[in-house]
Amino acid sequence: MAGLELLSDQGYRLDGRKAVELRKIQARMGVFAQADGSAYIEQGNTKALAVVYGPHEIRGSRSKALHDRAVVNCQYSMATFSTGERKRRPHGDRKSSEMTLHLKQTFEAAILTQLYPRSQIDIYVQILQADGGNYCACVNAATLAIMDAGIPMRDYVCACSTGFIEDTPLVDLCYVEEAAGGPQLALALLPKSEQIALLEMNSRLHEDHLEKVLDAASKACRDVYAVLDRVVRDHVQEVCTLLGE
Amino acid sequence: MAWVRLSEAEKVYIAHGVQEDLRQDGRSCEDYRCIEVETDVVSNTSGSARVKLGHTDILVGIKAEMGTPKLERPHEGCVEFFVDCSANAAPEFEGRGGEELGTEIANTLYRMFNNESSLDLKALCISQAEHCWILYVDVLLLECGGNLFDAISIGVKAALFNTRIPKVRILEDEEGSKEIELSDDPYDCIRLNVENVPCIITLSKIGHRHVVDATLQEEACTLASLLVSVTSKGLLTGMKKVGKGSLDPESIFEMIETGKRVGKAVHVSLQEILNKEESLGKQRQKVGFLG
Amino acid sequence: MPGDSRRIRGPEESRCPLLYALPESPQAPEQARTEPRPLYARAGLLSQAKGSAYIETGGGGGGTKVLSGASGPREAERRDGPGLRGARLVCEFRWAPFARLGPRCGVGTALERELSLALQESLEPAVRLERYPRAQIHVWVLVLEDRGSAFASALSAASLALADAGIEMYDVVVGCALSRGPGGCLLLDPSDRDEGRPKSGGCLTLALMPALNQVCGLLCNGEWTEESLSQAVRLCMEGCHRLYPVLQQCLVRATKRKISVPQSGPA
Repeated sequence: MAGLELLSDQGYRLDGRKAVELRKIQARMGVFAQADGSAYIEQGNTKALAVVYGPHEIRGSRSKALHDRAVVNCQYSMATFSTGERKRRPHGDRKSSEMTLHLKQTFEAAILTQLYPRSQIDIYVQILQADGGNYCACVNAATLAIMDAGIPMRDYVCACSTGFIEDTPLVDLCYVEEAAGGPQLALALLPKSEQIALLEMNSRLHEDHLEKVLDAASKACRDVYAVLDRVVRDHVQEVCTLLGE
Repeated sequence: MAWVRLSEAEKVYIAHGVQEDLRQDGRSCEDYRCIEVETDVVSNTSGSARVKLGHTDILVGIKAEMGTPKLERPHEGCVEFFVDCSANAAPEFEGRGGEELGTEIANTLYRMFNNESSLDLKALCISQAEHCWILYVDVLLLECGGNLFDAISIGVKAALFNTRIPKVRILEDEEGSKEIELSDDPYDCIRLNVENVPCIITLSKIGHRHVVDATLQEEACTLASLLVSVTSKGLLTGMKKVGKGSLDPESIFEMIETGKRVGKAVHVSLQEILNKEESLGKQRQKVGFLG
Repeated sequence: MPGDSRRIRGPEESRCPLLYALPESPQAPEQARTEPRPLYARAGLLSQAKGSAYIETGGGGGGTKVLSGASGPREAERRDGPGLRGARLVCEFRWAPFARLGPRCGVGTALERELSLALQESLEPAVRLERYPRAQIHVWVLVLEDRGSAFASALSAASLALADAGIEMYDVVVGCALSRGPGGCLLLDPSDRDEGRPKSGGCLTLALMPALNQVCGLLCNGEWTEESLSQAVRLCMEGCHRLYPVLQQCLVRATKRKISVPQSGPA
């Protein structure tokens, strides 16, 4: 699009944010009563819903059971009306399968699976509205849902996407910024121990800039952690009040 | 369908309660659970609605796209239904597990809308035999707490009410080639007339009586159900029997009568809510899933 | 191919010829019909299937011809369905590609899947599924020619095939269809002309077990008022009761044929 700059000279992006600002995050835990754990998150215009069932006995073939750990089973799907152009199939295409695998990898690193041998934990994530940062919103929502289900984790898993334009890392990309085609880095971090659960990069980025971008991404993840922590504490307080303790 | 295992004693308990017109949560046989409806929850769509009926949660999104009309109906647009039973609702729906239920619900929706008066498809036509609007109605099942058909039909009606289709003009060149121009003004749009859009009422037979709005436990005790599709004026646009059991003809007549009565009441309250939301306009606080 | 002067090229843009077809001349409206058309039924005609049936209705000018087969009970595929104490009934309903007017109309569409499911739900109340635990019974129906009320004939044919296969049932399922004309008159057992009318008020198909007087299947669409719908259901039930003796006779004849043939080959 002619005349649409991703980063203006004054340092403002398309939606008026500065380069290091995150979008507004609103989240809620315990959205559905029938699932073991559920959470809903809104990062700007991206809306994601995560539901956790488990730990329970392995469904289907018993051969998939691991004798010392739990199996983490994920599914990522996007609603057909979530994107600007209607999607024909909610899940099952390559992109969704790839995201599913990434989610599985991320949460196998974070959940204490040794506590539940021979069982299965299901994490289902649904994107209701896609406006950039889909994977990151999913990871954040899934973290909250796992907490809601009471499954022990090593640490929160916070994710944020980062881009790089005109020597400045841009944090928490929206759809237009993602579609512009520059380098994008998605980082899923365990904030307290500063360990990386998943790191994924697209396009081309010079090695010299990598450190800068990674630092910006880590800082953004720690900001996300602050927000999620607040949400969890508020929720626990609310539940305790309702229980009358 | 996500199911619940009940013992024989529990089934007998529920059946006896229904006999006395008292259900597990204190409702009578013709009462609905609390229904929450909210429109315009997803911004990428032409219209959307969210319905929460007890533990059943449905999200409906409508996208209007331009296409060519069907061959045998060149002056009408068309409506396509797609139901996605997501894994959120039940772990059995993971992968392709929810497809069977999804196609069954979509086929029922097609049947109920397959008549002249439900939706004015002629309003969706842009130019005969060449261009028309195709409405893709996508239903997303988020949580399954019994009575899916009712919730989905209420959601579809609310989403259709909320749909805004941009107005289109056809410009003709000198050579005769046509160009389509979409109006830029976001408020210049066509709204659909949902007066005659039907709602499906499910009447489940438990013992010798029938109940409206069955929960998962009550559905496990049901032998047979009758789906009746009623418009706000009391016209019946479709009927279908589902379930493994058979129905007595007298029960069918009773069920039709109940369905018509309950259906009209549902339409009245739904229209009230939709009008209230419409009157609030821009000031309405959108709650969505955060409330 | 470029520069091929011998081949005559067709037009670049082509449209379906039906767009330019002359509109059909208006037909005289049918009077209300309260009796189903004459029906011919025969069971046990296929040697490969365990049970089979053929039904033809209508008669002069082409009628609806439906063929059905049943097999089972066979061992079920292992599927952990809670609460499934009896057999699984798997039904398939298909139109032959040449069955209806218009190119491949209705074949492989969602309508076939919907009718297969409706067929299963209508036959399940009639079959004694609890007598065959962990088994699977297959029923398939093929509509060879569809001149109206195909699904109703399919219901009757499928239940005849099940009975012919020796599967225990409570009663034979009889199917009857009805359509409502534009003037509101009710037409029992409509021909395809009546069903396909654009301004028809609606269609109703009913499956009944006449001896028990229980409705096991009901499918209807169109616009109805409560009174017209109740009247339509009653008419359909009467039609089913009229067709019942024909189906019973057909089963008796088929059994006699089986007994009189000496025991040779698979029985």
